[in-house]
Order: sequence, then C-alpha cells, then structure tokens
Amino acid sequence: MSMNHTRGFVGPLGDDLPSIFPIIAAVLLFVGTLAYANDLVLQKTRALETRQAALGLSYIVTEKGLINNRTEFEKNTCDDFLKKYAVSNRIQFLVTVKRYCKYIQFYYPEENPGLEKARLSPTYIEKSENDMQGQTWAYCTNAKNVREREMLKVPEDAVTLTYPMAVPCPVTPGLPTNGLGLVNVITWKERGKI
Amino acid sequence: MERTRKNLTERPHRRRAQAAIFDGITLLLLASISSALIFSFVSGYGAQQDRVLRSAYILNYMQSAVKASYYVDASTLSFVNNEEIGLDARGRITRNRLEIYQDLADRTSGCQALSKYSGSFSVSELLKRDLAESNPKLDDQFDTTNALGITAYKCAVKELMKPFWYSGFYYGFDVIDFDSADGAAVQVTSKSVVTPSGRRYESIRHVTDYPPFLTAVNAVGQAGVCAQAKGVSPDVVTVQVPFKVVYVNSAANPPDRKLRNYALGFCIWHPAQ
Repeated sequence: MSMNHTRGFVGPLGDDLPSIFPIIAAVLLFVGTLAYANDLVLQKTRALETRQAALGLSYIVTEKGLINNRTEFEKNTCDDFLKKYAVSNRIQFLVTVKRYCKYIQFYYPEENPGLEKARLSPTYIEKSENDMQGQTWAYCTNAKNVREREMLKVPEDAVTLTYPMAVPCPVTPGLPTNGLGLVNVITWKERGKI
Repeated sequence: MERTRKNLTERPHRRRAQAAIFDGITLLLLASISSALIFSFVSGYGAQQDRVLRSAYILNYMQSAVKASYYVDASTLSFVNNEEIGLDARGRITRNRLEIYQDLADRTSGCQALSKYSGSFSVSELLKRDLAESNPKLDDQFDTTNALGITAYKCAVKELMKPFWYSGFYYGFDVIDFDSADGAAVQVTSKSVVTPSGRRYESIRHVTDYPPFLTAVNAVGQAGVCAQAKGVSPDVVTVQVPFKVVYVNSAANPPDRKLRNYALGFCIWHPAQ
C-alpha cells in the first residue's frame, strides 16, 4: 500500500529535477544578457561622449578658419581653451595642424623615397619648418609623456575628426600668404575612466 | 478498486512534475523574450545620437571649408590641377588625370593662372570681384578684366572637400542671389577647354564633382546645384553663408553704388543606395 502510494515520487526536489535545468538556463540567459547589454551600453556611451567632446574641441579649433600664429595657437588656444575643455570633459586629446601648401594629398608617390611616411600621420608631433606638404606645423595635447620625433600612440577607439584650415604658406619671403591646411582633432578616454 | 486507488495517489505527483517542467519552460521562454527585447534596445541605443553627431561633424566641416576660403590666398592654389594620386587594383600608387577637372588643368585659365594674384587676393575676394559687375555672372570676368573668381573657388573647393570626395560623397557649390525674385543661383558660364590631345569642348563649370551635372547641358536648373542634388539623393546637407558685394557703376554720373546680397550655398550628399 505504502509502496504503491509513493511510486514515481522521487522526493520534493527530485520530482522537480527536470524543471530545474530550464529554470537555471533562463536565469543564466537573463543575467548574462543584462551584463552583456550593460557592457555594450557603457561602451556606446563612452564612444558617444568621446565623439561629442571631439566635436566640442573642433568648434574651438575651427572658430576662425585660420591658424596663422603658432605661438598664439600653442599658448592661448591650447592652454586657455582646449586643455580646460578637455579637463572638464575628462578626455585626452591631440590636435595637429598640417600644412599642405600646394594641394591636399593622402597618397604619396613612391618616387619620393626620402619622405618618411610616419611624419605624414595625423598623430606625428614633430614640427617642421621647411617641409610643408603634409607636415605638422603646430600641435597641442594634454597627453602625458609626450616625446617629439615620434608618433603619439593613441588607443584604437580614438575619434579622429579632420577639418580644412588656412595656414601660413610663405611663397615669397616676408610676404604673409595663407594656403591650404588640415587640422586633425584626435580624442580618446583613458582606460577605465567613463 | 485497487486500480482506482493507485490512480488517485499517483496522479497528483505526475501532475506536479509536469507543472514544474511547464513552469521552467515558460520561464525560459520569458527570459528569451526579455533577452531579445534587451538586445533590440541595445542595438538601437545611441544610433540617433550618433547620426546627430555625424551630421554636426559634416556641417562643421562645411562651415570650416567656407571659413578657410576667406583666408586662403588664390595664388597658393596655382599647383592644383586635375591630377590625383590614387591606388590601382594591385594597390600600387598611380597618377590619374580626372576628366571632370579638365578645365582646372588649363594653363591660361585654370588653377595655374592664379599665380598672378601673388599675395594679394583671397579666394572669396576674387569671387566677390567676379560678381561685382553690372550683369553679375560667374564668368571669371570683372567687367572687361580677368578676375578668376569661379576658377579660384573651383580649385579651392576641389582641395578642401577632398576628404569627403575620397569617402564617396559628392559636393555642390552655388552662389545664391538673394535679390532675385526666387532666390536663383547666379549663372555660371561655360568655358572652352582644350584637352591634351587637342580636342576642344565647352566645359560646364558648375562647382561640383558629380559628373552628370558637368557633362549634360542644362542638367542644373536655375535654382543651382544644391537644389538639383535633392533630386539625386534624399539626404543633402546644405549650409548657406550670406555675404554682400558692393557694385559701383563709375560710368554713371554721379557714380551708382549698389549693395547686393548673396549667399554661398554649399551642399554635400551621398548617392542614393
């Protein structure tokens, strides 16, 4: 009688054992999705904030459409505006002003082997006085441990915005002439900071 | 009797087990639906902000291009021509001569001719001079003397818009006459161009890199390139920058002065997919 009474009954937990697997799977799926979604939202928020800060910096840099005084740019615009804006937005940045006094060029012909291609990178910070075609003329950054004569290493997720700009292109000595140039505004957030 | 009692005692356990499995599967189903909803939210999250920021970047770029044209000296553009350095199918660097910019390669009336304005005229000043005549036209003429205004702008815009041009965008540029009844674009006159092979043809000189607007006569209406571009692409981003030109008719007695109102219309678009 007693045997018959409990036949097929494995106990309170054992009887529900098959249902535990879908329940655990559901909980894992839900928690995993929440964690993954949270990570994605944080990444996107970080990217949007970086891009927004890059735009803010570019509005300062492109205010006039002309950068013809390097000292004024590196002292006033850089220290008084760009660095302060970067501090309030908790970002790292690099602004390079490139001179292209003849025409804007993205590919460089092989017949110019003396030209070091790294110097043409938006992140190369050694300033050049004489060579104008794609060389950095002025820069501003709040990155630490900056050493000239090299490319500044920026994270892969850095935002780069490029704008046209009039820059000094002396054709005749003593005669102030402005020509074609580009400004690169590169921003990124330090790892772990949101 | 025995069978009936057995059934009565076993059924509640079986039912309970079945109900538990059903609950588990239902929970899994609900969790799956919730996960799908979360993924749907995440995939759309930030997309609108991203579009706004990209659009803001394009607008700021175009405004910067117009601002730069106020300061770039026309003489520095004398190196610009129709030659572009690019990569071929094997990834080798090659030089290509672009037909749409053939008129800029002309030695006497192309970008090279701008070298005579050494250190004296910015691109926008030359454009204003091109417009300061009794019947304003973009014809590289200031009454009877040369003022390569539209050529200078073509050379400048070709270089200034190069990053977008390389990205597959098309640009257009108009001078809008605010004093005209319907705000029409100022007429751009064509120019006779001789190719290196000696072939002569009339070049339509609208400031754009969209080939159909440059090859067909009357492809661009009175409203200008940017208005025409709206028929080509649904997303045309346009900026308009107003400016004034003083026209003095010194032949009249007393000299007649007029202040004309114009706007630089600058647009960019991606061809419709």
